[in-house]
Amino acid sequence: MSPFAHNAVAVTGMGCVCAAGSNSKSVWESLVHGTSARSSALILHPDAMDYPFFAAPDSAFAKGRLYSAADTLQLALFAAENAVHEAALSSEDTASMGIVMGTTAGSALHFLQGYAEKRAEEQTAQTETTTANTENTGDNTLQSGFAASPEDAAAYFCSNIALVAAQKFKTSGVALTVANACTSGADAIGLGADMIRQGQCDVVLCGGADALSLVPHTGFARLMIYSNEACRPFDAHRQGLNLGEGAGMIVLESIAHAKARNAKILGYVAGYGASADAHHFTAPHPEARGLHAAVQSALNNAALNEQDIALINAHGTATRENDKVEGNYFTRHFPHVPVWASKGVTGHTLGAAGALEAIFCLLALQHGTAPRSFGFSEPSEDAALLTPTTDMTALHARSAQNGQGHIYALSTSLGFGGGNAALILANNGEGK
Amino acid sequence: MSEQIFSASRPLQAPSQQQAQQLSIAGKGLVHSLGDYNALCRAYDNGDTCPAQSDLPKVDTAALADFLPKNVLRRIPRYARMGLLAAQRALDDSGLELKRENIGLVIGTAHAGVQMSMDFMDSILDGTPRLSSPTSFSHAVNNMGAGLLSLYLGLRAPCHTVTQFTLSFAGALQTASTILHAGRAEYVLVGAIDEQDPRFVRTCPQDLLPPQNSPYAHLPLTEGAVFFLVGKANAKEAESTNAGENAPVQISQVWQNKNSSPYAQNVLQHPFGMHASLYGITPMAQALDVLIALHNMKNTQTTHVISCADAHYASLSCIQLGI
Repeated sequence: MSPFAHNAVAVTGMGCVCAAGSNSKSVWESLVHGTSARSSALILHPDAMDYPFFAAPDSAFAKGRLYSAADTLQLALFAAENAVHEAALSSEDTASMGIVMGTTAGSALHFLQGYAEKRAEEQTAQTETTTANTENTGDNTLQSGFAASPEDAAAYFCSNIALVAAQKFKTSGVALTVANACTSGADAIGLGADMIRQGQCDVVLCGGADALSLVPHTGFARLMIYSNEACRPFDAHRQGLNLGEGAGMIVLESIAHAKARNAKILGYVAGYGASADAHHFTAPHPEARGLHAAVQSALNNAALNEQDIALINAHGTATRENDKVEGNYFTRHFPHVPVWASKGVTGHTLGAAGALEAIFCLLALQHGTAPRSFGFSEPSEDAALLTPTTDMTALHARSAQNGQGHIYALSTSLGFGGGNAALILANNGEGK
Repeated sequence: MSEQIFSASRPLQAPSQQQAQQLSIAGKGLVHSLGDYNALCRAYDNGDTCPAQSDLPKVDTAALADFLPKNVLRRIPRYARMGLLAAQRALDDSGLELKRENIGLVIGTAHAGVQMSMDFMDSILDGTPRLSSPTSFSHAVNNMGAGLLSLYLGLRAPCHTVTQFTLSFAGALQTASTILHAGRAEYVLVGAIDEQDPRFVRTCPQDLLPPQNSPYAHLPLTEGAVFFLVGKANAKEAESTNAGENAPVQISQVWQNKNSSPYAQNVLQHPFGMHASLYGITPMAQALDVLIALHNMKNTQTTHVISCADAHYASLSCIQLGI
């Protein structure tokens, strides 16, 4: 059995939603033309710090935006439904399907409105007992104007994305919610692929999702890594990131299982690698030690060399530190490989990013081209003058040793806390 | 086969391929309101019950000063300090000389760093978002514990955080097993960390506290961290008949399942852990039950199934210890 046939895992369903669109077709068109729009953060809350962000389309929120953990759940289920529908699984396969989903904001204690109500009640009670001359508005708002919502905290307990997905699809297998910050989506796919290889599951639904709300938006804004204009990945004048929201979900199965049921194979997850920098809590290792370990692990997993990679989708957040580390790393190890930075069209979708960008790689491989890296215009010395794609770039199989007819793309993710994840995606080898 | 508390029929069908997913426990560490692992075992052997909330001692992480300077410790939130000490104790307990870059980490946590999350929300509500605390936010991110433990223990193999309420520890164990059997780490520190905060409890008591008419209603909320150093089980260990204190114990089945069997229904009636009267109310009950099972297994060769339920999601996780 060839290494590819032994290690690769088939992708038979994809669902994606972000500012670029709500399905693979519309997302690809936006990635090619750079046509997604940025929104004002004021749609999250009137008091939000007004940095631009890439909002998911309203149509993806089945119940409308709820401003709670339930919003991430809505996006996750939207993408998951589309992926499972495309995979056209039997009821038996769906019932035993494993689920691995990644998120950042979706698992966090962001019930600000519910907590505001409790604080208001306690402050009112204190006021009454001390008979202080305090005005009671009677409408449960605090001086900062946050209206209370008793359902807010309850939503947190009811919105665990993998567990709810397991209920929705009535599965009886493993369900895992992974919260690894910005590598969550990529790690979820990597873990799902490992589970298939180990025979833990025949089918795995995996990916990542994150919707924004006031709390995570405020947190990232206060870390001073936001840009108040359109983000510029790897650009000499980059000033920081734009956040985005979205969800990317794929259905994985072993090649044998997919072929046995005549499933349409959209592409493959050929390899996965992950590592921890153990260097600094927020900044990446300056020599990309962890990133290199993750990439090498993915290449080994796929039985490939650096020369086999035809395209890289970078993490490319447009922060000074991330792009410097990735820029230097790609220039050193992949000097002739086109690098595509896609966050100029989607923003940084946090826990969804690694999963969405894996899907973007699969779409690029299907089309045989990589789009322009919107936002980039001038190479930066501190990023080793890396020049991401500036136009549509044709992709070709890179290695003469690759006798399978596959073209490979590498997708990298770097996370808060020093995590690194690398996925290697392959086309389906059938021309489309 | 010995099944604690929830006896009757065999719990669930064992999935195929589970033989290949066996793990071996090389070390264990505990930090808890009750103390360390030895303190937990003594309390268990004595038949102690958990002190009342007002009498419960604070979790003691002073021993971290043996490993880290004070100026570093001051910047580490309580949640991570508990995890750090429990993980270090697991490493010490193993007695193994290991390359830290080959050790992975998986943390199961119901709510991650609750204190920092509430501090961040307070900082927004006390003023405006523009004046909120960036430090609190960065320490409130769910994988903060994994990031800090990886940093201060020098762990460079994959590090993950699994967040799914009371099912988090079983999910973490499943993830650790996947990492090890994929050859991504030589060993994995896998554990549970959960802390309590009165602001969180006051905001959603109906979701955190037992019902007033429940037999668990009098029990206090506790916090802490449990870690196990696990590796892939090997054939030699599988054949070992040495059931002494440090004999390798295999974890052979970890899965989550929705099941309407009488067994599952029984577990769902006891959502706070097998020995909640000993360790109080905590989302990491299943991890504590594993520790107690290990203590019970030290002189016997029994098999234990440690179950945990989440009634809201009608989900059940089971961990089988022993062969």
